Amino acid sequence: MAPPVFALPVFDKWLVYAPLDRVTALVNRAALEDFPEELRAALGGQAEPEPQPRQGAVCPQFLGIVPTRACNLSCAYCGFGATRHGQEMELRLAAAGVDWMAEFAARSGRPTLDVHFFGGEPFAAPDVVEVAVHRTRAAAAARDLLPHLEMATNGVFNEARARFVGDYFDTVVLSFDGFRAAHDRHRSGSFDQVAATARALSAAPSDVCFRVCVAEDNVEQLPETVDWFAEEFRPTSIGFETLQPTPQSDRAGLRAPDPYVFAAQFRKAARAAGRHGIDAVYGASVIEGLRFSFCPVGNDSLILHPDGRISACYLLERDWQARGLDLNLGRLGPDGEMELPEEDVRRVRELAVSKPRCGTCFCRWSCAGGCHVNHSYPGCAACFDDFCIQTRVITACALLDGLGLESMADGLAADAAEMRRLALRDSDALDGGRRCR
Amino acid sequence: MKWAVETRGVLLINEATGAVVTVEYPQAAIWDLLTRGESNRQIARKLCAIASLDPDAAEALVRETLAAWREAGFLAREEDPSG
Repeated sequence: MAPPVFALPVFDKWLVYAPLDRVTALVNRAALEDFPEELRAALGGQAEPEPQPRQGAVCPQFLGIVPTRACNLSCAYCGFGATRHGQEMELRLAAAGVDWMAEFAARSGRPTLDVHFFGGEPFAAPDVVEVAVHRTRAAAAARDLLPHLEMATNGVFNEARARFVGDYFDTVVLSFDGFRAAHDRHRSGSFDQVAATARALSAAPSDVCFRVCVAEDNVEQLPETVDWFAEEFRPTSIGFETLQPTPQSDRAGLRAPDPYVFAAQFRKAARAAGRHGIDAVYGASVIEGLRFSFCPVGNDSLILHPDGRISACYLLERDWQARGLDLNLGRLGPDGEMELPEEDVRRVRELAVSKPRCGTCFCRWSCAGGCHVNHSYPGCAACFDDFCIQTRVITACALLDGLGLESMADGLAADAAEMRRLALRDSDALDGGRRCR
Repeated sequence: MKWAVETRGVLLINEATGAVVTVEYPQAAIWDLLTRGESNRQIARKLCAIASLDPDAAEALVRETLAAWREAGFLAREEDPSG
């Protein structure tokens, strides 16, 4: 079967994209309508195979550790139901997880030992983090591996802890929603502490990514927020995620932004970030590499939970179950006995491939369907939703940028009617295909 | 006294004498916990998990390591009422 070619209207031209061939072009209507076969042949290159999950034995890219589900904040939009006190991982379980991953990395000839921390807030269980960090570094040194530590944190801790994070973590994802009013409204009045942590981390050798949750109330401020972040702090990158509605966010009166407004504002924010030498990231529109999964699910990453469960996803088990998903992969005992049944690994890998909504979308191997739990779950609607709309516009702009057509991309992101025309197509396939409405 | 975190442990620099020492694991963890104000007892408890030591061995390692650092001039004095 010929590799797929997609075509999208941009003003009076067509953006033609053959992702597996790594070819993008801007053509006129005649080329598209009168010579589709010739166009297809001209675009053909050395096509890569479709991205697929690996086969065979489990091959994790990293070990994720959830030290606890507890959190010292109760953010207005958080649906985790986290409390200040919750089950903490046993220290020897954390150590056993690190040892397993270190052995795997050494056996596989990897150069690095990769351990990531998720929550709740990881530092709601500080002993677990400290022990796991030092165990990782000791295990890496003993096996001639480079330790690589990452953490997602709310940054609500003191200066000494900020120094620890800056000294020992390679990458820190800090939740920081922008100016005081929006941040405090979203994140329990934590602006002053988070700004202090951001300042401390900016002076540290770690890569610091600010993760901005974008809602209706801060979407119009994204470019100014980027300018302020750049002038006040030194983030390596700024990631933008739109609010995932929850009963809590509804009660707080927070709503997700209009997807077209978000796409337009993200575009402006990305341009501002570029002027400061900072990467602006919208995770679903990364076009540099092709992928079949948006996240750790299907990529064999192992997330270790406080009760010893190993899963493919760091979200709550009850949330997957509500979507009819089972993302558990196995279990680790405190003495290091790892159980990862092959059939469970295979089941999760296959789950990551099946996304009917994405069939003829040009983003199918860049967005890859987004979150399996909140967006591309079994039985989800077949039509494009707000997440799809913003992703499609932002990705099209990125493709135009790649052609050196930044002005045209700016024009697209400034024109609501053009964005709608591009975003709401039944199918992007050059030769038609499945219809989506 | 200055120190820097490096891949395999911690680099200690005695500015007064010019002495430089690379501290590897598990002692590197002791240095980190000590500099962040943890008591010897707290350090030993975490060291059990960091280095797979039993409690007695962890306490002994903390004691011996601190003594060696004092001897080498990296620690001026010990302030740990918890012992």
